[in-house]
Amino acid sequence: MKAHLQLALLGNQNSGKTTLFNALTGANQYVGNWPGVTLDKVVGSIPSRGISIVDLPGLYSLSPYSPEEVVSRNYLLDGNYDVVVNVIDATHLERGLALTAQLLTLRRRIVVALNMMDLTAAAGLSIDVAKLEEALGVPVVAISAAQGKGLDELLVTVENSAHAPLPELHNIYPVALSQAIATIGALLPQSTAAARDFIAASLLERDPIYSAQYHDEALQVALVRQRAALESDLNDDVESLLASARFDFVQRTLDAAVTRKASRTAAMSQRIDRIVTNKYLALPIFALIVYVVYYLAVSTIGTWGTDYANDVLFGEYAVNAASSLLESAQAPEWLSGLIIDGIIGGVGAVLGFVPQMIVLFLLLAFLEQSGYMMRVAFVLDRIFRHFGLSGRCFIPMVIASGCGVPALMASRSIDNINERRITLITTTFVPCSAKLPILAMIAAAFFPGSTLVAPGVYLLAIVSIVVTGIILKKEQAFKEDVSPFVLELPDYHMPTLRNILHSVYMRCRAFIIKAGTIIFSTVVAVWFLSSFNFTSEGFVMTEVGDSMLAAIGSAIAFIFIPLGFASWQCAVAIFTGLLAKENVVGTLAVLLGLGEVAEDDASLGAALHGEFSTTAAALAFLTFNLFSTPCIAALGAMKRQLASGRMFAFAIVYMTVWAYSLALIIYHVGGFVVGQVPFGPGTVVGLVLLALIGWLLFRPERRKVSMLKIPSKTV
Amino acid sequence: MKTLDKLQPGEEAAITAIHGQHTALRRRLLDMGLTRGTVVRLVRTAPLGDPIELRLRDYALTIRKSDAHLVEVA
Repeated sequence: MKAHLQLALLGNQNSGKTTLFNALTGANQYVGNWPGVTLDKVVGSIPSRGISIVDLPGLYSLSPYSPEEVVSRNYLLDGNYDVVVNVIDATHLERGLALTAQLLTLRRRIVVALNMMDLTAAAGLSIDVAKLEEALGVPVVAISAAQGKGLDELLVTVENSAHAPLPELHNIYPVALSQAIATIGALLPQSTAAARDFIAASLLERDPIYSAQYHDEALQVALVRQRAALESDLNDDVESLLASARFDFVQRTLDAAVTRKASRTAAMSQRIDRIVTNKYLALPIFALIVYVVYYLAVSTIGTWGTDYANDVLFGEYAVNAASSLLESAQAPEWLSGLIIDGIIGGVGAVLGFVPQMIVLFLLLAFLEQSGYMMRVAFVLDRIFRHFGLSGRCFIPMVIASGCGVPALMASRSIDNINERRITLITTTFVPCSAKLPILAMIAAAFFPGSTLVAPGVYLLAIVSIVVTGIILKKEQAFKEDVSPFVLELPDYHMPTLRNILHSVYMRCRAFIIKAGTIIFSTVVAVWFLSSFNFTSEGFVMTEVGDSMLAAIGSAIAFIFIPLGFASWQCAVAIFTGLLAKENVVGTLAVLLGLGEVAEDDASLGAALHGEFSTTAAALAFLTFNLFSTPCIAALGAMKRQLASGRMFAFAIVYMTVWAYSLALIIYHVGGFVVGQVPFGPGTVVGLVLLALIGWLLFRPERRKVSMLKIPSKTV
Repeated sequence: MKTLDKLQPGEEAAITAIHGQHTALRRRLLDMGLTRGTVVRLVRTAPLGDPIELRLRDYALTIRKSDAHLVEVA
């Protein structure tokens, strides 16, 4: 059904805008992308009323400095919508109304949804909605999105407003500023009609986007003149004058409509913060919360669920059911292989992660929606900013030591796009549980009894993350314009179950649809390559050792000569590791003629000594496996979260090059230092690579990260 | 000249000027309500010494000390 009413939802980040959106649209949501930027565009509908809603990104103003602001602003000015619903947190009116003040300078139909009205009593506020309506000059509806109150009234008001004539523009600026705005507005082209005052005010504020767009000479002269007159008359610069005028308007509105007593909620939040961000307690509390998240998602419930799905649901029931069905139908071997190993394996590889993700996302949604995640940014910013990351990146990295897939999907809670990208590229450097058998295998065979290998590997992982963070942070591609670190610390509140479940559902759905397709198709493709080959009997099923994959492995094994291991078995093991890192040990054991053995089996150890001539080569093999691209499931999640083909390609290349360089340095430089590998060209290359990493670390920045520069890029 | 980053925890002051003209950061600070005359209280410093938590206009805001240095108070 075609929507007959189009709404735009606008509001602060913590105004409960998403809660309202979920309450109105339920599961009728579609996530797309705003053109040109990696920002989710969420569109929902209310089919029973023929209403369609665009959920604009949460923001505090319509300045031109972050993608959220520019996208919202462009949509508000030019979008094809009937009514803007401006969501305001009634317990933080002052902050919310500042955005409303800007919105009122647009000649559009506006309805204010005064949210969280159920909390105003505890906040010591008494709000006269009629007076607020009068002061703002637009309809105001009191609602509580979390409790589902006032929603019908809101929709009725919106529908009435959509059919009413376009309201007159409400003047929020004092005389001197309004006159300047009118003078500039008169010089703007006709096409800007509804937004003339907004664009004129923005031009006076030296808005870089509109300045580039409207630059005829008469306008420039008028702007310079008006600014000079205002600045000398009022003794302040125009940006400050306009911002102050908006907050003065907010203050007048509040004086007219609000009476306040002492707030219990703010006092409560401050009491919690006194403990949670306390000088001595903040870090231990954070460590404890991380431990609890890890314990529930990785050590216990989450992993039980995922193991059950993998071993029982897909490993047993689905396989047994399919094989008995195939047997009774007397299906050929290739067909049962395709269905059992290819398709069930592929579907299992996707769905098997879901139980763990549900547990993790439940916990993360609670931490985000309660307001704690913002405190994490506050507490850890000092450390993480040096690597181009923030405290919020820490949780995905801890989760990654269990499994990289939910960790990558968890990166959604990082709203700074540069930090999110660097997190996505570095997270899987943390060895996940599936990589541990490789570690155990090499440690048992070459370093029996040593307790240093595992800590060494984790140290190398931390070094990889820190070095990569510092290197990438200096790159242009990781310097997209983002809002500066000026963040609201919202009051703590108990999230609603509905909102948490909704967040879990949306994230799991995103994983299954967007990441699932790539995972499934690759699993089937690698299964195909590892099970078939051309032989004298034609194109038939073979053991992995005789498969096309083995042929490919032999063909590319030479790539690993500089790393000290060049057997086709190692190359094939690395390939099957793409499916799941657990496969590396198993494949290697099969290819070395041992069949199914444990990773610390003595016969496997002996065979490995034949495979790797030195411990340096064995360590190089381990390093390459740990730090090169993660398994295909993690890659699928990474692709979905990076939401950019170029970024994803870069991530794959970067991880491969990084792992190769580390392995080469370990084999040639490390091996030379301990006297296992003779000095040669490889040693020189290794030293050059070390020097290159050092240079990348300490080179000057391409562009100062200073916020003192106005980015001129338009979105 | 006293700047916002020099306040002691619990201390209040009124903003007299924001430096760094025509920058994204200054605009953001203005948008968040740090306008001339606004009274700001420094609530606390983060456990590691930076950033700081402010209270103004009935809400809590965190900014880095280097950015707070641009805000002149009296």
